[in-house]
Amino acid sequence: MSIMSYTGGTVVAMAGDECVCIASDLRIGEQMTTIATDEKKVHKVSDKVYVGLAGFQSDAKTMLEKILFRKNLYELRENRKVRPQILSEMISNLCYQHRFGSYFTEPLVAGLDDQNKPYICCMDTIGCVSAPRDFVAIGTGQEYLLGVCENFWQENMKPEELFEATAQSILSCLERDAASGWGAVVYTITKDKVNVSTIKSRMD
Amino acid sequence: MAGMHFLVGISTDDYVILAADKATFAYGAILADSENDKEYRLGKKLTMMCIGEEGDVAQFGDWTKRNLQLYSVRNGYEVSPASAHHFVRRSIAHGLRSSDRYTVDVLIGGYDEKEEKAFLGSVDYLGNGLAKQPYLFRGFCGRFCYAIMDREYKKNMSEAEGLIMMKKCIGEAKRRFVANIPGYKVVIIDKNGYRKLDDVLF
Repeated sequence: MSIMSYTGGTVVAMAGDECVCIASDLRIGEQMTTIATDEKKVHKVSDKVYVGLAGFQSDAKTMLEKILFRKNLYELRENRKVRPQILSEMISNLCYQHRFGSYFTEPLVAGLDDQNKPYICCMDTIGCVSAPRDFVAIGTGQEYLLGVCENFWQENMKPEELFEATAQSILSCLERDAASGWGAVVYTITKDKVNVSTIKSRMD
Repeated sequence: MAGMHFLVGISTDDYVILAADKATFAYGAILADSENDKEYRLGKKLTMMCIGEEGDVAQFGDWTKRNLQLYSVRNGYEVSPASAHHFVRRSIAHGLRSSDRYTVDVLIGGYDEKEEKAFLGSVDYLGNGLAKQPYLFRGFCGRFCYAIMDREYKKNMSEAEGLIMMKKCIGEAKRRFVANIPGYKVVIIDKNGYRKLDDVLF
């Protein structure tokens, strides 16, 4: 089994009309054994900027520490909040700096910029960014997600529709992916508030 | 999954129970010692149980203990359990990508004075860290015990109930695991402090 699926986990993000949604499962395992059922893989980085880190949990934690460190330095130096576009560039650079001994985690960035334009992107372990306008998925359930997102995603969704689409997509992914599960947490980021909801899925 | 050894950790908001086997195995087949202490005290209400490669356990355990001791001498206060856990995880994860890594699995238990809550966390030899968990195991026997705890764990169980559960887990390890584990050291930490309980012997 590859190190990328050792602990398991999935993150997905979708973009709507002046809103984005980012969701992750809650399982952490050691290969086939589930060890914990309350590990979020989505982290708040700035006001309307969230990062998802799927892959090897150890490296995801280390990476998150490094991301927060760099983001804090940026915000202090520039005296302004980080935009998601900037953050993804920072993370991409961080990943590529470890090109020949990479961290086994795939980062995902979702957020609203200063014009409240949605931005989502994901990258591979060495920081190759892809930033489509519709949806991104990373982790062990990526294959299951991309297909189902294709069906649920529509142009210019409002926050409520977007939440529903994201939640339904990750739920159907968790039905199939054995390395992810135990419910999910969904963050809906809009221009004046962030809504966090925890949803149940098959709890095995 | 550190070989034949076994660590148990059970916690509620009020207390945390930790148990570690007392065995030393040699060549994967011989019980070389039945009085091996795997515990490293990291503070007044903070302790760590450590299994893995024998030499690494001794070296890493001692290193962690003395670094946290140094911290409390320098700053005049002890680190919180969550901070100690963060430090241990970071050290192992950092070591993993250097030429000298420690092949150790640990459980960390303590009582957080600020939050007024007991803490239980684990770190494995790859640097995967879990904090604030109700129950954790390290070692092969843990595989039976997660199932037991999933069924039996209650959030507000008493200390006595917690100890019964811990003994149930150890009993299952005795029943199902091939190796002869001679006994377990048991400690408990709550708001009143640290206590070593009677060993569980067979």
